[in-house]
Amino acid sequence: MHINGIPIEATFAEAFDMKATRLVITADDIGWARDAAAAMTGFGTSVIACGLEIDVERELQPSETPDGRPGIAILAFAMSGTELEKQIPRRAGQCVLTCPTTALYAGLDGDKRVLPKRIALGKSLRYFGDGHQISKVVAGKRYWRIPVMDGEFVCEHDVGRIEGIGGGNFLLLGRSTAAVAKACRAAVDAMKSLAGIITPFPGGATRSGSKVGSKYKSMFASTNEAFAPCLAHHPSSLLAVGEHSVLEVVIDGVDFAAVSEAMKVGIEAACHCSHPSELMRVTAGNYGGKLGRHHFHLAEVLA
Amino acid sequence: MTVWTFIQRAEVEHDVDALPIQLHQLGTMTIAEIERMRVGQYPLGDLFRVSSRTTAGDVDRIVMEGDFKRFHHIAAGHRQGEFIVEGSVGNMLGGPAGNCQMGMQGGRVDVRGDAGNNAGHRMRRGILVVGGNVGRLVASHMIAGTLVVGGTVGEKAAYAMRRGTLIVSTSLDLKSPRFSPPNQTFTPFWAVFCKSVLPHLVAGSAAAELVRQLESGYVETRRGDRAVGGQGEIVRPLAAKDRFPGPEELATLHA
Repeated sequence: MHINGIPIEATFAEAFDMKATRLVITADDIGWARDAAAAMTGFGTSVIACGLEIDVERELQPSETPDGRPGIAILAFAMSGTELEKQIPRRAGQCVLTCPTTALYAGLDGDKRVLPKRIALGKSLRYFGDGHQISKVVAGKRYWRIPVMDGEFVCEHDVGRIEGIGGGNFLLLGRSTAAVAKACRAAVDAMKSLAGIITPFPGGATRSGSKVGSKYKSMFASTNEAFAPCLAHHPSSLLAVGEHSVLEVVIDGVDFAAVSEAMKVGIEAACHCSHPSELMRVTAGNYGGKLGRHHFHLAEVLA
Repeated sequence: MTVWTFIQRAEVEHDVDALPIQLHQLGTMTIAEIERMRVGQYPLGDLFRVSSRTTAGDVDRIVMEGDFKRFHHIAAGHRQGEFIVEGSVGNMLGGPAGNCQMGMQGGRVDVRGDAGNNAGHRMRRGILVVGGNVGRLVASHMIAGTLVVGGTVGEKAAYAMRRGTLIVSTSLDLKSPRFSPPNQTFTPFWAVFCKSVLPHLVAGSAAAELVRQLESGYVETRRGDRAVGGQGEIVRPLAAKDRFPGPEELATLHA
């Protein structure tokens, strides 16, 4: 299979079950909302060491937010519900509560009957009010109003969590880092308009694609030497002659369809902005199908 | 869900205790059983023409039509669903039922006329809207919830209020220091509140206009009743001309 003359390898991306949630940050202007979101999603690239994978899903118009102000939707993914329940209140407290004019709301519809597994938001943060906080229930949702120095920090009581998918991916292999970076930017830019997915690595891509395990006992992930150009001579290398740089776009999504659509949009954008002499191949990362139950075959995704 | 309509047959000569009219109990009763129910000294059927119909709404609702100034304890202990009164009501609207220490405990009560004394007494949860005026001791001993008064408010409002919110259209003349001085504040919560509550109110009514004014989030609040260590709040929306900074100064700051 080829797109714009660029070969698409007959392989699949292997992804995993994760626990996911969505949050909505609003503020008086989009600038403050972006600042809070940037802090909240900082150091949230990989569950390997960050605890969760978290990023901005999209910016919201005032008509789309609970309080009619500009907002930002954030998606967060973790390997366990317990980790999500630990990370989200911690980040909300340090990154959103602290940011001027912001408010924090659940981004997933559904009360306890629909989404019985809940992650605390105001349920934890209310104690900052030191007894002066006010609880209000509106349309079955509980909100906390916590006095702060610019007025009140408004925060929904909790948010549900859902089953998500983490680790959807594709690899762009090219003649130079500049060529691959250009394709990578195009892919990530195209995916930004999609709902239900995030690309949590810096700029949406990682250069340090990893394999499971290491020669060092303390490491449970290490460099994927099969795609490291400086190890092209290594017997396990999967690089062809002329492939001097590789970047991996990693996608987390709320369901299979969202990840699949994002891979399609991203790969097509990367290929259509590149020449076959620059972007030489597109492939995907997997572990032989033994670790993750979600397999995104490139031929099916791009069909 | 079900909508029960109670249309008043004739005005009563005596005060009536409306406590037996409980929305959450109607679902298990037939129309005949409802009409046989005793309300004060009257069978309910003597006072009202009762009907019911099924709707696509997601909550049960009772609609009372008539003049109920002599009916006290309307919506007392109300727990869930909507209790709508097309007319005025007597005392203890949304108050405690029987010897219960808590008043209304959830749902929505919307009185489109006036209410007597002690509206929202010991109210615990839910939203209570009075489109017209209220008498003395509104929101007295209030525990939580939200009470909106579109018209005027009688004396001793929010007496011994512990928590909860009383929303009014004009500054209350609270002579004693039971409540804090008025503070101007902004909170986006009122926009959330407005978005949820406004669609249920009669467009153009005093209550709807008051709630609509909250949408900006700029309000004057007073916290109390300090005599009982209360953290309740009396809220009044601020018009643009009354805010600090005012619209002109705000425009300069944003420029």
